[in-house]
Amino acid sequence: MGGKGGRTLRKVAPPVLLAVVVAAGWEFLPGILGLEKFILPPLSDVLAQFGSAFLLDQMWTNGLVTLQETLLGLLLGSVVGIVGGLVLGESAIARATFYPYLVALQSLPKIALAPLFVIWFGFGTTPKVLVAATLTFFPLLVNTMSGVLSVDRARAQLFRSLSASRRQTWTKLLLPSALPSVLAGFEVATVLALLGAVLGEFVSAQEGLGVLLLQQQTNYDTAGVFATLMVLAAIGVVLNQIAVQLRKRLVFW
Amino acid sequence: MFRKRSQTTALADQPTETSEPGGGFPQLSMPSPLRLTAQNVTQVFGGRGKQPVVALENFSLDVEPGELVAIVGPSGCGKTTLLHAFAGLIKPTAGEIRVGGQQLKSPRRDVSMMFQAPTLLPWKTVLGNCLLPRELEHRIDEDDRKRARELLTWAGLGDFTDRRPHELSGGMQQRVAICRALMANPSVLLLDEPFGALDAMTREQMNVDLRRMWAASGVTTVLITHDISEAVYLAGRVVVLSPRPGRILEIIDVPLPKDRDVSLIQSPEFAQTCGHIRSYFIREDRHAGV
Repeated sequence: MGGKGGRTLRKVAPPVLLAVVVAAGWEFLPGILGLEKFILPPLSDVLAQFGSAFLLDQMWTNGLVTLQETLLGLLLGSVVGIVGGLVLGESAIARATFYPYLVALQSLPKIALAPLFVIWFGFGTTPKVLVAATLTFFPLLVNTMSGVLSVDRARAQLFRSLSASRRQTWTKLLLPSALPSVLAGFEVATVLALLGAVLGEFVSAQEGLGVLLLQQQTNYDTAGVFATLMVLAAIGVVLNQIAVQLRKRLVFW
Repeated sequence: MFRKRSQTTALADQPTETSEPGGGFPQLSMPSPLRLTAQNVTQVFGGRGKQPVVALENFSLDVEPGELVAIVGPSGCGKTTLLHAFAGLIKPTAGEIRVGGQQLKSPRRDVSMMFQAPTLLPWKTVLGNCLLPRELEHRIDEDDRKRARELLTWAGLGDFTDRRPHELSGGMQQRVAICRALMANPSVLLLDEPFGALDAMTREQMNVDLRRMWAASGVTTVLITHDISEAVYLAGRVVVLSPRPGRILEIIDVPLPKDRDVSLIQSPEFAQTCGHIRSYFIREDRHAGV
């Protein structure tokens, strides 16, 4: 009985212990160090925020907006990134033509595009979705392309020796081969999409968790800022875990 | 494993010369085997810019329908190149290859190739991997499934049809690859060091199985190997290739009966033939100073 239980304990105990230590430090250190509450409020103050019905309502409505922008951005960026990656994986000419410019584009800080998106698309959802999409696009493009290109040579030869058509090679070899790499890119992209949505909201918005953060910052409501950050972290973790589980489900080999 | 052994011993009792359909084997009799000819095949790699490498020089060979020919040679003698040319995967720089009298220009469905590695698709089951050649040809029907199951059972994998390749040992994976190669109903079977990655014991068992499979199916087979005793045990004729560029040093008729069992390995004829082939490489090695 000790063996398996002991192992689980050894795996679970350290992170739990760390959480307890951090929580305790957060709760008592500000008082001990004499920090003002607007610099670093104790943990209990932050958690107390979730008791306020008004704030919860604000978090819910703003959170839904941010989540919607994140998911739309993720969807748009993924579709364009995957399709682009497949095209670049298939055609050496497309690769030679577009890839240098795509790398140049990737070097550009995407947040710098946000003002442009605002000029073009106004203050609604669209510019935030676009920022989220530009952030998610690249990892999916690169991962899809490299997934297609890194197909096992022997398997490619096998398909040739079996007289497989181009279409069969794509559907039965290249796409499944690229899937692990595509989904690994998607995992990274979920977090980037949330980042993009919040960044977009910072630049210009009426709603969203980014806007809520800015309001709380203006009011020196530091406990509220921390509470919002917790919600953002939770959304990020949940999205990422969905992607992780999706990958585990689809890439079972 | 046990199940497999009992089945293969049962097979040994049957006359293997005539490949009667059904006779213990799962319809292993292939469509009529075809003649495979290589005429003055030369293969040069590189070319522009780089120093061209002659992998194969003026190679001519006539494999009778239903014959099993082994090609031995040191690594880098162009064996794999030759097999890829036979499979239609590469075009010879000069000379031509004919399958059943027809010039080979691209891969043919009835020329089945088995690679050094099992080369299975990890996302497909054992059965799915086995069915791949049929899947690429047309919709899989019940007959295909039945035949694949029979082949897999014959190969001792009857209980593993729904497993994924990563759950199987290396030897079992290579057996799946054999079944897949046979699923294509080949007129010509090309084997590229099929058991090179396996341990010695598994390898010997696989050789015995392969010989029986070939005897029952009567498919024209070309086997590439660097294992001399494997070549002598399996083949009717052994082609000895020189180091790069690969040229034929000798074609040896193996003086063993067509109906072979493992005990023949101890016979003097077997040892003599192996020694004869080995002498080429020892001599070559000394000259080349490799």
